[in-house]
Amino acid sequence: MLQLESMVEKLNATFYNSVDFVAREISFPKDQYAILCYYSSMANKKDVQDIVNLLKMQTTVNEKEWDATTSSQKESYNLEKLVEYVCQGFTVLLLLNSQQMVRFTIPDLPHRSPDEPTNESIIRGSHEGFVEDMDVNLGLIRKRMRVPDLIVKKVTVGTDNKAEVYYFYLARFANQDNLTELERKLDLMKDKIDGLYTSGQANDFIEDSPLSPFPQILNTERPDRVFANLSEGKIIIMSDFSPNAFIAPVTLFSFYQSPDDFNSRVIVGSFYRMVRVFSFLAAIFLPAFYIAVVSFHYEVLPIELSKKLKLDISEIPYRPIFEALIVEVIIELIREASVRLPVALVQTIGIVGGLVVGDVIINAGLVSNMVVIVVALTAISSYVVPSVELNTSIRVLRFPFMFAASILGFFGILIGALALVVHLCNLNSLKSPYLYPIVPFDPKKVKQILFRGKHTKSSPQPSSFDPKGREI
Amino acid sequence: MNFTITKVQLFLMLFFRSTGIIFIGYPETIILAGGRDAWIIFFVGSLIVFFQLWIYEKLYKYFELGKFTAWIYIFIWIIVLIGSIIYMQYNLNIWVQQNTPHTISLVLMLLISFYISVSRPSTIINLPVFIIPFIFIFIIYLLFSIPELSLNHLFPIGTSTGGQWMKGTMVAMAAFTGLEGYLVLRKYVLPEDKISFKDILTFQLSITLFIGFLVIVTKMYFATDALPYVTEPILYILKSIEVTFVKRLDIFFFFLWLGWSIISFGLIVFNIRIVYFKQKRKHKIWPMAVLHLIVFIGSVGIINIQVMEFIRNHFHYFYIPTTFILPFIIMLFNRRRKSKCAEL
Repeated sequence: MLQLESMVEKLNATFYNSVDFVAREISFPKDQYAILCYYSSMANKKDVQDIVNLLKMQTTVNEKEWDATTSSQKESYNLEKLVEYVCQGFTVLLLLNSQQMVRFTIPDLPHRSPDEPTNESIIRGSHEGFVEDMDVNLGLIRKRMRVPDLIVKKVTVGTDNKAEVYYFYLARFANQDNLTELERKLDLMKDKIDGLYTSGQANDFIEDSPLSPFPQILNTERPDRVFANLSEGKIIIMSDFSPNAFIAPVTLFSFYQSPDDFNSRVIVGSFYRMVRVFSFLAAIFLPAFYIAVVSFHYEVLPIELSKKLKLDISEIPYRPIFEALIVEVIIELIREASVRLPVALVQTIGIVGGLVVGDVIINAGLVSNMVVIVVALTAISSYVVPSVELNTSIRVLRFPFMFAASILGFFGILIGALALVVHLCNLNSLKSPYLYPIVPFDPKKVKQILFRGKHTKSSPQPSSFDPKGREI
Repeated sequence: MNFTITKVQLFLMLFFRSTGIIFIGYPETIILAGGRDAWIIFFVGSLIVFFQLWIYEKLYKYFELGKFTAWIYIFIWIIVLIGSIIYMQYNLNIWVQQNTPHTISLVLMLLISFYISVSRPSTIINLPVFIIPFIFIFIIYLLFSIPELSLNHLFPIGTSTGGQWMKGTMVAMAAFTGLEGYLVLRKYVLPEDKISFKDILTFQLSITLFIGFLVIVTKMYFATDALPYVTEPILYILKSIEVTFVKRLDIFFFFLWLGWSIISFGLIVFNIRIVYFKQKRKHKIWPMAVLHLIVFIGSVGIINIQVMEFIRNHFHYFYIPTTFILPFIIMLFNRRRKSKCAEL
């Protein structure tokens, strides 16, 4: 039998006498002595009291199954387990005579209400978003997917903070190869990572090529997007402290699809999908194209435009690459400042950056009008992408192209473009081809890159680069 | 190497392998060789190649390269690679990059080819797909030259001599250089993807229509006497087309051709890779690096107009030994050997 007072002291010492740790002795009919332990910051006291009362009552009525409630579980006392449960937000009732413990109530951790994510807003459709609570998030998904084969699994990662990482998938659609690969990577992460502080850390482990500029995992806070991807056989990875859901395997073109495509009419949805795909080309190549034209290939422009451009840039004291870099850096500074500033000040930054700085640097003769137009168009094109990760990748990618164009003109762009295409062809997401339906080439599916048809049935992504692996 | 392809991928690779490097200069070569009937000669040559392809399909199982024949093919392909890169580099210098040292552009093109060659097979197999949309854009822009075309340059027919027909047919068939790739790649096609007479006909029709269109447009645009002074007639036609938003269309299409040619170059390297690595070799990076180094050394010292002229005037002699004589000797020899083995 465990001693009451010494046990309370031991528990307090185990939890370093933390002020929010509660180890309270209570009278309990079955055992006489019991200790209730929980973190007051993580548990709802009213729920705790209700369940304790229920257990007390059940002990007197049914001696055999006194611990059977919907939210309690009895097991033998083990200090290590007790510590783990309390840290996870459970309340543990320690019975001293029988050396057993009952853990109960779900943790009551603070979280937001499921509002629409600010960086993935849509015009029509559901406006719910994930929050920093896994039960709420799973509820949002199960609300949309009322089937038994939505399987949810959990791994605990990080020796420092024991973060819980969940992954879920639809058993009838998910590809076993993808699943095995993900589980292998999560195992690796479990061994290697000290603490999972931000969801981005998981990215580095799950992605096949973390050094590539292209994201191989789709990040979303929208339950409807997760639902659509589950139906395509994708696997979803979430942690219990972040509203971000990671979707894998994905293709490059997944980043250009938005729930709005299917909320609007077929033609309208297709048109905007096309606009987004073309924005990819504009965002990467437009400044490089400008630099190549003004530095090497003036002759491609009609004479009228060529004259105007020459007049415009003849006053600029340095090469077009520096001119473009100045405006690009200013745009990046404005963007970064607007992300970090309070919402109320963002508009001011927009006015200062867009109007004042833009106008002044042209009047000061630091840059030409044309380069401001080009860089502004590029910035707008890069923001068309409905994914923040790809958006940032594209913004970074245009710099090497600008340098290549300034050294070799169109030839530099061609060499860079070929290298980019080969890199994209080589990429994979959870070992599945990243550039499907181009690699492996599937002529029937290629049109889906630009057009959205009538949505009737989801089709899974192939897991192999070989055409024989296309059928799943 | 372990990979499979579909028949669509096979025909796409063959299309881009054959058309890639030659299409901007080829019309001039065949018109000069075949005279006024050059366009008819081209279609006759294409018909012969169609039957050749059909026989290939019947006999491809017997195309098994031994060590000696594999090295013969590797040697031939290296020569083709050197000739191709010289042609690409020469045109780059002539049309746009007059001041760039040719070693720099050669190295850059070879680096891209090297990157492709050490990537997984699916990369080069599917790279031609990226060119498909540009083919349509290219054809649409060439159609803008219709007002300048003259039927008088096509007719009357029947004026070419027997010698012109002989040489013209050889040059016509040379448009399909690289067809031996069919034999190299055919066995990697999925077994359930049966290649029918119709599939071969569709492929041959599409490649014939594409090159035939270029030949006819060139023939109708230029008087035959003017052609010897125009080295890349397609680019000249594009240069003369006036559109409101771009003054020099030819520059854009020159780079389209260059990208197309680099992919075509990569497809030849892929053939070498398949044949070389069939001998169960493990390391792929070093042999590919050595191959590109050989091509670099082979090409860097001999880029000049004489070599260019030599390549242009003699490239058609490659076709008959590499895609006709050698493959048929190999296939018939293997067939005979197998039937003898079966008898024993």
